[in-house]
Amino acid sequence: MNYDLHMSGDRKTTIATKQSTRDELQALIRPGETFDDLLRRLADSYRSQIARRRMAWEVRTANDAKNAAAVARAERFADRLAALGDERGGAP
Amino acid sequence: MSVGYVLDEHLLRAYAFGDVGVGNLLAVLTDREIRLAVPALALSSALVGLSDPQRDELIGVIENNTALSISQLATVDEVMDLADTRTVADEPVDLTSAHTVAVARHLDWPIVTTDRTRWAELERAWPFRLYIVEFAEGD
Repeated sequence: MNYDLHMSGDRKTTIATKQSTRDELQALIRPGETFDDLLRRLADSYRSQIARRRMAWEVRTANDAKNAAAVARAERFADRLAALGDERGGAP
Repeated sequence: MSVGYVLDEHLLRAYAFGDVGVGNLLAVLTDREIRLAVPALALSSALVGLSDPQRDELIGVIENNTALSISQLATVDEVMDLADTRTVADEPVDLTSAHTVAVARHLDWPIVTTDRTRWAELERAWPFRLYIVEFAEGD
């Protein structure tokens, strides 16, 4: 199934999808929305989720790293795991 | 065979609840390029009841660390591995633990946990030795 995307200021293009995929997307369109609006909304939502979780992880990692004792403890445990890996016959 | 480690539900949950030791452990292991498997059912169990910010941190650490990968339950072989692991247990075992064991057996990697006591009874259910390493306060 081919359908046009209407992009103001951009050239229109065509995306080929299965008809069932088109139908799934069609069901998500809000009143007054075009396919292009829908795809942009979905892409924005996806990027927002990824960015939010990345930021949560970055902030968490930075805060955790401020705790020198906890970092040292993690290093010691990682050494222990590495030794265990050697005993088990593989390079971690 | 290269060695990695399987993270269990308790360790994942400890991370989600802000355990700074676990946070640094995942960062250090990632820096050392040690591979870490996250069983899908362990992740699912760990996510139960978490707030949205806690979920974002837990999913965020998995999505953004190349050393961590989710061990799925998507193929017939993976489903069969889980069924076999439950079948050979001498007593009923919960799905989450059984999946963690199935992943560990498949990869031949030890399980890393923050709560060894939770595994004490469980490991007696299986007729084989489980390799479990605890990341405890004294480490």
